[in-house]
Amino acid sequence: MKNEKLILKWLNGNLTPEELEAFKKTEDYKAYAKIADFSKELKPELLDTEQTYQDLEKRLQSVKKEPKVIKPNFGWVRYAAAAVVAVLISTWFFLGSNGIDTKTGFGEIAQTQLPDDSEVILNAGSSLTIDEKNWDSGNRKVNLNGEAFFKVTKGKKFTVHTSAGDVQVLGTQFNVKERDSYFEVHCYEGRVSVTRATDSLILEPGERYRFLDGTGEKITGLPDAKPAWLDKESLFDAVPLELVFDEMQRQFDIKIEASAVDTRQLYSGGFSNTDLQLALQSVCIPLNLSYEIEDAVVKISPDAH
Amino acid sequence: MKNSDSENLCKEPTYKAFYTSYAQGAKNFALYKCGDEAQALDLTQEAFVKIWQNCADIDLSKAKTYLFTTINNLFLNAVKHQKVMLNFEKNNTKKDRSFQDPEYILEEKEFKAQLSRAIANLTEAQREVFLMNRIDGKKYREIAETLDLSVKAVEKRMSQALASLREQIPNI
Repeated sequence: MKNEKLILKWLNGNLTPEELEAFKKTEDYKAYAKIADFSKELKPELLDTEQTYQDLEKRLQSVKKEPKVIKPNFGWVRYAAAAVVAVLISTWFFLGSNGIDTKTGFGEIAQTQLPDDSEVILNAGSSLTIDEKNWDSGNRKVNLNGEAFFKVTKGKKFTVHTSAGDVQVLGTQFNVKERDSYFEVHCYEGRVSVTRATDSLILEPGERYRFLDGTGEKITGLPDAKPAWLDKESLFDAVPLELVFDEMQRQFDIKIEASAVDTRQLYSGGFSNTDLQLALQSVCIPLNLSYEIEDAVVKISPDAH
Repeated sequence: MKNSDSENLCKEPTYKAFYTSYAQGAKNFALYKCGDEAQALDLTQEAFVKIWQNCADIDLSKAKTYLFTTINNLFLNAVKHQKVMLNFEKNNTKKDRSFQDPEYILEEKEFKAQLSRAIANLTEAQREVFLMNRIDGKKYREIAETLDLSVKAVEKRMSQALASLREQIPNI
């Protein structure tokens, strides 16, 4: 290439004005200038670095959990440190024999993470305890009282024990509801095995097992992504009204007096977990009931009209 | 080896500032290699994750070189190597508004297509240096530092690139 030195200096933007004048007179200048100028117009996409940084941060969350150890000069120090950490952690697990407890009060939802990274979201008025003594030996077992949505990480058998029955899975998403006489397991992903007394059955995604008034039944339906209560709604499908009111009491921390109406009748529908007026209307209007709110007490009566 | 400065990539503000300064350049560099915007962004993000993971071992003054080297390595490990065709922005005629007769526009379009093809035919080493200089406006010294090359090597790649482009587009 002729004038190579000049051309290189030119592309680097450090020709003196005199050199530039001289360069412009060379025969290939126009061709090179056109190539050089047009190449500048190739437009890579501009990054919105605020946005891409946010995306990156999400990925970093999982990395952040790793303990960052400044590399010592002697490799063995690192292992020694790791051993100490391991011992401390396991001792803590063994000593804390009471287990991790998560509890929700009225109108609360709580999310908790189990030692294996499984996620549990508890609906209002529920409690979850973990049997940590056995957890370490690969026996993942939790005790549930109330309603919870589980996202279980893959691994050994995971058992949810309730007073009404046991639910077992390997790695999946499901919802367990155990309220007094009502027991329901809804499978959202994977396969779930439900055991109640001597009964045992397998649920596929979209399927539910429901135990009410002494009879258990398997209900098939369309696979859903997650339970309605995660979106702050309570849904029911042919459920006795008393159980619907029970749920409403838990969600709003109120007392419902419904002795004047037949609470054995079945209700299908849902109510908002955030707006009491709206919730009462959703339930009462279709059933021709009226309601009266006095402080934290709601009186339900048959519609006068 | 240890990082005793207060400026440390393990600290989030430092890390974020580093990201904001170099993400665009790094993504462009990845694009010159792989020719695909989405893949380029992936490579870039992955490289930044690696930097975060090794933040304690990376000196801030070397971090830029580390970033570009990591992208290069990640790219080499990615299986699919394809032709790197970059596109001119559509309707990019702002600059030449006074010349908008149809013949000129047609010529320009044709030239751009020729140039895109010619750039795609450069070697990867030539293309990345040439485009970092042209598009990102970097000086040879800065490119050399970023890619851990000598300035001489950068100059050599530049002149090879230009000669190759000139040769591929004979009738300018």
